[in-house]
Amino acid sequence: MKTSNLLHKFAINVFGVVGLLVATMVPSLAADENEVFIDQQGDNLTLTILQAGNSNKISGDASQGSDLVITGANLIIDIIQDGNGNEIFGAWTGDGSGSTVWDFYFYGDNNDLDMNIGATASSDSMDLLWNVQGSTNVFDVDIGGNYAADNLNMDLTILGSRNNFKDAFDNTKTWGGTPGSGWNGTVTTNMGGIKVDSSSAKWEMDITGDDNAIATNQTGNAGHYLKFVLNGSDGDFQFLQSMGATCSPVCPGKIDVDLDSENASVSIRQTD
Amino acid sequence: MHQLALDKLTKVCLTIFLLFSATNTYAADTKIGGVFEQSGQPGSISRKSGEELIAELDTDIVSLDEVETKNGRLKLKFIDDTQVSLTEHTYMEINEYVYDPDPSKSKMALNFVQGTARFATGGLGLVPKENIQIQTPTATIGIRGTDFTTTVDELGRSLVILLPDSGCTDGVRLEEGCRPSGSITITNNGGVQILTEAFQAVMVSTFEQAPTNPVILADLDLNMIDNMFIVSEPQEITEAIEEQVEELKGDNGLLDFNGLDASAIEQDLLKETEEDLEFSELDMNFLDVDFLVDLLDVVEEVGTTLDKGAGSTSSSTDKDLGVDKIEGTLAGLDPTTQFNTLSLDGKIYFFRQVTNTTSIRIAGGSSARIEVYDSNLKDTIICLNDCEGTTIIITQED
Repeated sequence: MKTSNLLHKFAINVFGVVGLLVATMVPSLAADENEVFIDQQGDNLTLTILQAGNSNKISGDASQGSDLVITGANLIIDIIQDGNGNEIFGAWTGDGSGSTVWDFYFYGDNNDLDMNIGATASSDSMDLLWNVQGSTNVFDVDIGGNYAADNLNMDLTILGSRNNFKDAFDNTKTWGGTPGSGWNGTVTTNMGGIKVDSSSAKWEMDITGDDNAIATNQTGNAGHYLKFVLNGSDGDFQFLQSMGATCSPVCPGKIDVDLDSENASVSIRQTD
Repeated sequence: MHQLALDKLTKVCLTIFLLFSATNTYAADTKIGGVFEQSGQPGSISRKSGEELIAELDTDIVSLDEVETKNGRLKLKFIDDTQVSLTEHTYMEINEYVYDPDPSKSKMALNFVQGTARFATGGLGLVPKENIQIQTPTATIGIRGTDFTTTVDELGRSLVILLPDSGCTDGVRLEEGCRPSGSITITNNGGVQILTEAFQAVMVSTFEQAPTNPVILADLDLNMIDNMFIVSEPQEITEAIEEQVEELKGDNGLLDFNGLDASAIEQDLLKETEEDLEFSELDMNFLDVDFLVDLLDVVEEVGTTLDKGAGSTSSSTDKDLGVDKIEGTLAGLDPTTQFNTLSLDGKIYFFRQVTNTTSIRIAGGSSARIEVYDSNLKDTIICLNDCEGTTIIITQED
């Protein structure tokens, strides 16, 4: 078990805390291999964590990789990891009874975010922001996969290259057809990405950098909106909007793509 | 003579029918007409009761119905023989339709909300023209003639064109002897304009701003009108709007703003929020973009495309947008691909709205290939410049 000092700044205000475990917390301007362990339940949490340094972790316990757990309503969370090789492992649930604002900032390269939002209960009406400034970061994100995450408002900004959303889901359905033979719905892809199963999802992504890879899947019983801005070369991007069969008469989706790129590959699929 | 007798007989039969089947008012669920012609993807009819109908051939319409087309066209025929043709992605509300044995009590009120509609009054005169009210978001149209079109864009701006009479065949243009079908008035809070010549047109931007002075669209014919799916601003209309702006100057209104005023310099225009400056599809100005300057060329190309048959692709109809070359879709709205393609702020904008909406903006000078798969559309490949580099695959299913 790694210990010791390692937290540049850890500020936490808890108004309805049932349990919060922090292994160690020693002030330092910038230090490496810090670890913050969180097991938090309850409403009205305001939490701010700033880790400055390399190879820092925020997770559930000393096993260095088990999920941290945060549940409750009215959660206001800001997490900043400023350095390289940082990691977050988490099961996050913002109870739908209150507004939840989660902001994540990653300033560095080779960071790893493994997050499951709505893991143990619904996480409705979330306002989620990711600001990534670095390259070769890896994101494994599942939103609403276990429980609903309706009315998600997500903003993603990436300034860096070769960032990758991985392994959250497989897009086992079509992205298109075979040129010349008409739409056939048989092409499959195994590219990973963010899985979102929620109504009225609104996403905005602003990507600056080369060779990034992002796949998204928006499903549910209401219309979705996705705005995607890319300024960079190459990269592979797949956007799926699949509305629920119970929509009456239809649930219109909208995808707005703005490209300043060479050799990017973009796939869009919208279904009712 | 025979036709005259037939008309009289029709009037008599209708009167007898109304005496026996109708009282002084029409029930809300009484049939007032139906879908007379239909092509392409069927649209929908929303009934006040909440019922949703597919607008197929022979589907009945009743008062208070809301009619919407998708990637297809409809022609509605009312029981007084009035015909309303709706092109793709048009939305119309039947606000009121009353048919009474006493013609003076019959009336019709339609609201053209968006898209292009062609209105032709019934030749039987069973609904007096003074009792017909056509509304757009920015104007009220009074009927003295028989045949006109309205085109309403997403901002509510309305282009109204008086069409020639039935003696003018589809391919005949104004200079070839077309006569007006009567006259219509266009009224709003800003004033009134009267159209009395065939292919005479006005544009109405807001309900408070007067319609432009009438201009004659000399190069149009009926085929072109029928294929004008979107609000399009002919050069004559552009000039009319500019004249209107000039006339408004000098009244100490907003148009008299002088950028050299000292107070103007103090204003920090950069305080605008980023969100305010952000472009969205609501900012798409269908009336000002470059391709509309060449509207008539575009419309002509649309007609050429349609002549190849409904199943034809647009692969042979390429169009340059500035220095960028587009193949596979027309500049402006292509009725085959359903893409709106235009050049804005150094980017090429591809906008496709069916049930779902996809908008793609690609930096000018780039090279890209867009493949479109839609169960209602044959394979479509759109090329920007060299058709290499960025690849975009769009699949839209209903």
